[in-house]
Amino acid sequence: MLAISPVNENTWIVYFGQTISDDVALQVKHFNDLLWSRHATVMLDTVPSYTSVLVTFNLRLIDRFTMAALLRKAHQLTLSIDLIDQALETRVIEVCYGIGAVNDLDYVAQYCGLSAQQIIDLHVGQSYRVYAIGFSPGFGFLGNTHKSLFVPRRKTPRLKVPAGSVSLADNQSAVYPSESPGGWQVIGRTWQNMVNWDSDEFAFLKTGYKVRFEPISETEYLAKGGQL
Amino acid sequence: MSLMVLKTGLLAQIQDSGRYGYGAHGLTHSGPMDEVAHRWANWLLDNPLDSGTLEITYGQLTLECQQSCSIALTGADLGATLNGRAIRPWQHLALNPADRLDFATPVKGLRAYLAMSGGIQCQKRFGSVSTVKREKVGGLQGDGSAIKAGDLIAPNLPHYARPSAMPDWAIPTYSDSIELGLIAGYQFQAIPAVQRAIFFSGQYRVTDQIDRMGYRLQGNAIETGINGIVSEGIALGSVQLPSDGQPIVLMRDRQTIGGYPKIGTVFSLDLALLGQAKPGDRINFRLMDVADAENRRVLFERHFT
Repeated sequence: MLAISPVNENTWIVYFGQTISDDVALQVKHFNDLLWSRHATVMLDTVPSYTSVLVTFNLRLIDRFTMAALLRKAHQLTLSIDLIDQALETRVIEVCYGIGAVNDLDYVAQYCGLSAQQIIDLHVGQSYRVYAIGFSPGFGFLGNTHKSLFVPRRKTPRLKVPAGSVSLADNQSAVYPSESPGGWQVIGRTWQNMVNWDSDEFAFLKTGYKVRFEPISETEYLAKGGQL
Repeated sequence: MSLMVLKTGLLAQIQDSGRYGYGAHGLTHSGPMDEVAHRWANWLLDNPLDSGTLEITYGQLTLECQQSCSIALTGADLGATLNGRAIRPWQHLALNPADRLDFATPVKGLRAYLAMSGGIQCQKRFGSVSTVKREKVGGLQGDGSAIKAGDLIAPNLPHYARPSAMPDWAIPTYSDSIELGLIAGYQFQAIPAVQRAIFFSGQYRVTDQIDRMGYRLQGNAIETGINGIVSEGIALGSVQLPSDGQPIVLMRDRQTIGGYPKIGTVFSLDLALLGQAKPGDRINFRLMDVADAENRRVLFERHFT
């Protein structure tokens, strides 16, 4: 895989390896910040993720190869410096596990060869890093889950996954901020809003934050405004 | 200078050229499903080319003119009539008070674009008026809601530019069998050559699961042999292959990040044609060099400078 690969006539994707790690996450963040500070005029948008940054540029202002040269420079610069992790905020998300009609907890338990309670214990037993925001507004990709929780995405994505669905896919976990189609395995629901359109804060999670999950009862979930 | 919405059908939304710069927060680009028709609609009225237009999906929409205004219609032929008299798309029209514009059902294509001289007046959210229902962003109310009966659609400040006539060569033909240029990218190299050959030689059908987020196709299943990838940014036109092997072409309201393998990306101008395709239409993919795509796009942009 090339570090800088064409995606379409006005998009490049820049990779920092294929393995998820804190070091790579810092490189992705640095590279993305560097592009916006130096080349904002010719760029349309970027999507930073775990190990890559997708860069869409304005073909009316810059051609594909000139853009690639800018990306190559920023890529080399990012790799050449030592990046230091900054103090991170921790967010706590309260989860009622195994409720609702869209619920794969038993399937996940069966797939992983564990009981439902063991799945819950492993899921709440560690903290996670927000590696990326995307898929939908405020959708935080949280890694890495315990290796025993590894479960593939559904073969065919669901057309509707409810807002607040706490889910697993591969070695990642996430909360659906709004109802959307999706292929992740749903193990629980939170009552907390992941996005607030009227607040400057906008998203409950931001790239770089730490996250922990806490189990709550169905009674508590409903009392706090959780929907079934 | 305004239009009153008397009746709405399947879907009508305000769309400009899209919402850019918020990918890091997960906001989709949105924008017109057929950007070629959207672009010409604004061009016909000498509007700024990224102005908001009305994207009318399927038809069944009725508008009544309240004050004289100048509009342009492009894209699908949705069996439109003006005061009962048939009108064709790809032209500008002067409307007078009490004129009634009815859209019936698709004759050719799926989505029509209605531009108003000066651009449709609408408050921008995150830099764009484009409507995304899922994100609750954009549109006349700013909350992602579609156009509904009782809405008043008005243009921006008075605009005195002279409308143009559409060049014949630029009017596309919407066929029920289309070929899409596919730029190799993403996991293309990791997909077995024989599976890639199946993809390019086979014919796909547009299913009834099509919306502004994606078009699900049905045909030969492609076995990528890839069990999910590290989630990465999804470009407009990406062709995703979930483990059932049936391609999903990701459109304007696509998710920004995803973990299904992708064989490549449909060329933007071809994607505009897919935006006019309906269930049952036939799709073929042809491998396209990214340099050809860049050239064709640059030539397209030249018409508008």
